[in-house]
Amino acid sequence: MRLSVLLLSASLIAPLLWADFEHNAGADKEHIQNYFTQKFPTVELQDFANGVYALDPVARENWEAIEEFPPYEVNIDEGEILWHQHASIYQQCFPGGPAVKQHYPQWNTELATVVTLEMAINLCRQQHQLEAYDYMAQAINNLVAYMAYHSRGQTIAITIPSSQAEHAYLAGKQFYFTRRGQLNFACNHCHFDNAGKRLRSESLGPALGQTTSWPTYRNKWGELGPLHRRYIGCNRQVRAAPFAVQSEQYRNLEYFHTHMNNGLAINGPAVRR
Amino acid sequence: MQLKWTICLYLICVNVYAQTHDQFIYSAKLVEVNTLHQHALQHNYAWRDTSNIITQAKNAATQGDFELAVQLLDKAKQECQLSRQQAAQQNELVDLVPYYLK
Repeated sequence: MRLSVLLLSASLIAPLLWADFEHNAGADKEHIQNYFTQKFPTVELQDFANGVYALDPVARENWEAIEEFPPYEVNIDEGEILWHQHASIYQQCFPGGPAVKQHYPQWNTELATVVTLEMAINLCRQQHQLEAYDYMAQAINNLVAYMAYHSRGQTIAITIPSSQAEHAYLAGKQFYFTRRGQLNFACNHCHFDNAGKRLRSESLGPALGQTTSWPTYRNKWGELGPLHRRYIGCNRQVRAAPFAVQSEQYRNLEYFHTHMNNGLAINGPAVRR
Repeated sequence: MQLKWTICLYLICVNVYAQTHDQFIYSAKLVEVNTLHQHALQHNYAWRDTSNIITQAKNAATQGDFELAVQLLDKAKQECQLSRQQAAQQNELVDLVPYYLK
């Protein structure tokens, strides 16, 4: 009798607890999306996925011209070759793949950490006795580009399934709003408060929609690169010591940064300045 | 003749003393700055250029320019202290999230 009462109460409380993790992050997402839609009332919510090109019509024209013959096409082709070299393995690790980008980064209960798509690929390869890719190498970017290309149009659906996951989300959130570096800037100073304004010759992109287009071909890099490489660049620009690619700090940051885009469509790979 | 030798010996002694004194100050400062910088790295509040400044100081010391090396270490120490203040200030703010997201 006691056991059945315990089980019944646990089954009633568990969904409430789960809902609470989602509730706090969901409220953040609502606040953030409302903030940007009110700040830029002429921009549709889905258009924020195009980054700064949603705000700057001249830059957008230029960007659309580049996207007609995009420089990342070769990367998608090479990614396709890589996928088909071990397609059966990847299909096991990514059911429904290659179109799974919208579910990453995700919380991994076994590892008790946030797992990005790049990390999931390497974990999958290691499980199947394949060598893990170097995170900065083009091979993994090509593979992710191929997966992102197939995920285009899929709505980002990041979940926060446990209190540990929420802890990681909050760590990412704290990172985002913490001032760092000699210039004493937090991420939000550029990408919330001053989004849409000019910084020398460039417009500052809004935080909303920044994670939908990765991996990205940046004209500055002259090649396709991952989101964490951009995080490193941002940290260096405010003169803070950057963290390693796929470090816990950047994975948590990506978790928070992507969760705010829930509901937006994946449009990567893309070209950015 | 004896006086000449005495003066010469005195100058050598002074020069050696000055050099070892600078070297001593440099070595002590390097240990201190390295400790501060390692703490900054471990607690994720290090600034971008501090490592480079320490490397420049080491290079200057290798070339025997201990005065410049000590100046650079002072600069690196100041960066470490300021970054620590910044981190402490950020930790003190209970709710870092700005008003528009509440």
